Amino acid sequence: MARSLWEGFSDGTILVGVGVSLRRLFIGYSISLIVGLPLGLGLARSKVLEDSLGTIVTGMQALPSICWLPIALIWFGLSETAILFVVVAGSLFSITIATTAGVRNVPPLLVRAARTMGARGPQLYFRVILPASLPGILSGMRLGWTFAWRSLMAGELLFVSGGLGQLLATGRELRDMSRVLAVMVTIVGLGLLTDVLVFDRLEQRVRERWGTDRA
Amino acid sequence: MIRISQVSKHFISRTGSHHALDSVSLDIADGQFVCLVGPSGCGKSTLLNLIAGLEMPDSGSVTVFDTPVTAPGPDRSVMFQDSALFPWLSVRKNVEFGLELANVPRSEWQGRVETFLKKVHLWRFRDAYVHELSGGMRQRVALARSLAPDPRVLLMDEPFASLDAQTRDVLHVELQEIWRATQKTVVFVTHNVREAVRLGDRVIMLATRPGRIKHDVKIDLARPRESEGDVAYYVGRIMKELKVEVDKVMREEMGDAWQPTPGDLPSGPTGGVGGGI
Repeated sequence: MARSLWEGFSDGTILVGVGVSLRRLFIGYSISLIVGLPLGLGLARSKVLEDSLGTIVTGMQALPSICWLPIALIWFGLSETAILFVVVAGSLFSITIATTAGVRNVPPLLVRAARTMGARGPQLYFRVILPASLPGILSGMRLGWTFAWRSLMAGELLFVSGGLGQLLATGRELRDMSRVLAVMVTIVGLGLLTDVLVFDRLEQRVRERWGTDRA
Repeated sequence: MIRISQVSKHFISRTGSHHALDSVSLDIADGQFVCLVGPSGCGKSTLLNLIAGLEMPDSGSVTVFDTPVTAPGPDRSVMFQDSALFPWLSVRKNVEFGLELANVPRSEWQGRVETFLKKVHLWRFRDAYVHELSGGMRQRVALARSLAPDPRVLLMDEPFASLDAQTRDVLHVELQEIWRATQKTVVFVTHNVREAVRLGDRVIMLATRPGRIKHDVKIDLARPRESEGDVAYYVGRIMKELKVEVDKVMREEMGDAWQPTPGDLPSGPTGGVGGGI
């Protein structure tokens, strides 16, 4: 397995796979963030949005992202867009829901205090409500990242597309156990790396500031 | 001058309509320190919120310096029972936030932050985060944040109610000093009569259901005031009136179970009816 891992890295197959997958992940995840954060904020603060979209968002969250694949294939064919669509569908709703929860948990007193100091409109949202809900949003981002990663692998496994998922699939076809394991180890490694390097650090910083790191 | 004329306010809740204020009129002169006391539910916080612009009256009008109050604004700072400081900002940034919202030019920030954090003796803690401060320190930061934009009115809603007696005592001294130096108009809500008498030029007692002004007592005592001596005389006088109102509230809340013992005030060592709540 170790040899297979080494070979995979040295002849570039795994590295290319990592590159392709990470690129998709970043694009899909970014779209989810760009859409999900404002959507979550809107759901928490607007009754109209909540009434019209709230149930849909919760319902979509219950749908495993891979169930979107048939739609994606019908709409976009065997394309990059189809995979991105699945990634976004997988992570968007968890980010939205966590953002909504984070914003709803902002102590009303903080908003009142900011209003008495003269904050209104965008100021109130960007300078008070958003930073105040940061702990909740951050856990949503973390969750979204994991979901995006899983959706991507599921999508890549199911059709020929390059990326790590496809390496797994071809490993299975060749009955090459060590290769399958090598790819799996790579996936675990990547997941751990982003968790430790990005999310752990961010959350640690927030906890230190807010003082929630001590019991 | 703060002018409240014929203000009424209802709240509608699940348990029915609640007449918080019933045509209340009150004039507060510039630079005056006015304390509002009364049993819970008498509308003293509501009155404060109306001046702050956080709530609007059903009828009547509130004007501050001849301008009708339509929204909250940085000319009227509010301090709450909880410091309401922003946990993601350091002490210094919290104070700066108020300055920014009040459109104070950036060049003045540093000087003002230093002046007011020194006034509340927290300059040393300027880079600390909120969770690193004690309750009393947080309220002092909140005071600095309220004062730094140089508001014309300072509204305080039970700002020391959740502090221990010693800390409260220290803050009373500091607040009197700051008030003397800045000559702000202060409206101070409390349920602690001793606190009200110690701090206020005027103590206004509100009655409950419906909320209206029952007594307006001028406190003619030299400052700085300690909590003994003449203060105790006024405290006794006001408490006697207050007891009638508290009895009324209790009877309503508890029904027949409430058996007041004559002459026996439900007061703690700090002299606050309900002060231990």
